[in-house]
Amino acid sequence: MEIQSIAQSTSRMARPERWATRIGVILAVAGSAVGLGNFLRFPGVVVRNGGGAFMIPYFLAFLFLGIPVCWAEWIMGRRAGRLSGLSSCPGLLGTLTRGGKFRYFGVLGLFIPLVIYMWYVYVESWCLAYTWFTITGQICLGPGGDYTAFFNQFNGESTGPFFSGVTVNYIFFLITFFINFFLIYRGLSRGIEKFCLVAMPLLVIAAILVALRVLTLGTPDPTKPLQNVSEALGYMWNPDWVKLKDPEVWLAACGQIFFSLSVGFGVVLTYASYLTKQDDVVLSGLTASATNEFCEVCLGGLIVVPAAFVFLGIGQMQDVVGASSFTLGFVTMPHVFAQMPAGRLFQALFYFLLFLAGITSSLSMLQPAIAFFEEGFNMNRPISVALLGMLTFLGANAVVLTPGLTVLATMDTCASDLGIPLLALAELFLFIFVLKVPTGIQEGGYGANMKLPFWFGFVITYLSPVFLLAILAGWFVNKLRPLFDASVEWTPMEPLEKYTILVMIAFLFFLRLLVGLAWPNMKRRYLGYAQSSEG
Amino acid sequence: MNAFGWLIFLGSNAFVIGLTAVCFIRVFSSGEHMHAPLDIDTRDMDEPSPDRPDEW
Repeated sequence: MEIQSIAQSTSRMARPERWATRIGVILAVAGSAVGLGNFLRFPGVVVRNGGGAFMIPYFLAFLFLGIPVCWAEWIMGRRAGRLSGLSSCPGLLGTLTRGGKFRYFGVLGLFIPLVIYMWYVYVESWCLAYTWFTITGQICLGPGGDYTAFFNQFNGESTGPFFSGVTVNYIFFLITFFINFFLIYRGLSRGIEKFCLVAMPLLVIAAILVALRVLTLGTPDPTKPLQNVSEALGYMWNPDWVKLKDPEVWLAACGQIFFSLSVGFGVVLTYASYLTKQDDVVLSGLTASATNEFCEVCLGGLIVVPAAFVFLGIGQMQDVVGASSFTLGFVTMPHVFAQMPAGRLFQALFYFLLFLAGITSSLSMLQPAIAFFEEGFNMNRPISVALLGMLTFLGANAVVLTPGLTVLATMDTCASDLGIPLLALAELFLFIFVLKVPTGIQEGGYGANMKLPFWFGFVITYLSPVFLLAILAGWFVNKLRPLFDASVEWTPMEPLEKYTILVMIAFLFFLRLLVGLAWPNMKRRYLGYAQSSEG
Repeated sequence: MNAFGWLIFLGSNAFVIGLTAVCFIRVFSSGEHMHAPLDIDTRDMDEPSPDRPDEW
């Protein structure tokens, strides 16, 4: 009886959203993966880990960790989505396991993107602000300008002649926040997909233009003949083979691929759930990953480090490659562009491309939670967007209004360093032991434009879990190093760091509570959807 | 840049550009909703069944 009554209301429960075009979903997934890390983090990681030699473990990790786990996510997402009509991570992982007992793994699939969004949208607003400051000339301080003071005063760490408070910073944050929610409000196809269809090509064109400018710099200062493009590329790409014997280099390669492809984020699961059985996932997944690699290796590798080398020289490169991504992007790069011919134009292009890269990523972070509110609590789009807006606005304000970057860094550690590998491990566990690899391979074959390679089953069963466990173990070893390495001292936690961790734990439990409350409704939706599919 | 540097730089870029190009060419040439050559749906994987709600 219950089933019949549910079946009668299937029109209401029918899946409301689908991707409009195949290239749209590919660019949306690629946009989710392409972010600030491709342009700011990757070049520094290469230089610190053996230059060109690093590319060997990097590409091995791409083939044996990134691509297989990515395919597993696409396959699980489409399968669970088409069988259940659900799209949120708890719903998908729950229905994948029949009894729904693994739905609580999906809590991480809400926690990770939401927490990252809360700080990411803030950094994204810096990119928009720096684009504006470049256009208006506010940041054009010349080669000797104090860009550190500019950045610190802008983000409220100090006050001075550039900014006396965080008002300007906050306005850009509000604009960026509004743009994100406007696009997410428009929905999957009219918002995310349409935006990515325009933003991704624009981003690539902007990056190509900036990279071409860097590659054609020649020797800008004839009195310093060694500061030329060829030497700059050599600084980044000349291999240091000895580094290949260092396990940390291999770990760094796995970590870079893993975080760069946005694997274990929960986003691909949600995006793939909007596909039908006739839609390809194998070629689409590979294309999205390859697009991310193109932005990272071919474009990201040609901009920041070579440009900094040409203008700052080898003497300052140690500081440049050791600096955080934020320092590199918002302190070093304005200094570099100030010395570059037509630097103002290319600086504006550079920050605009970072802004586009940021926004295509942050949009993807909101969709899993929107789907969760809609299917778990029967909310319509305006209410779910408003609720999510309030929730993330509170979290983001904690980041924006707290002086310094401690809150931001702690949130990133909780969500990225710890959360993502854990969720990826959970997904692999489900793929190997619950869905079963042969079933996964069969599912991947539906609608496929290319076959999964013969080694996929072996790699996903044995190699990928080992790679992932190594990343997690490496993280713990680094954190606990003072216990067994006398030369490393404990760094005591700041009070703000402790409070942030406590809030993160509380937030995780809050989401777990929500998943518990939402599950009966998801179950009803699933049964109704399955019944309508049968009919 | 030394010879090995050039080799790795050009090799890496060629690999990534080649992979991306091949993928996009195949995507655009296959059109929307293309099926694999052999796509037999036995429906034996469509579970859990809604007529067995006790599984929940």
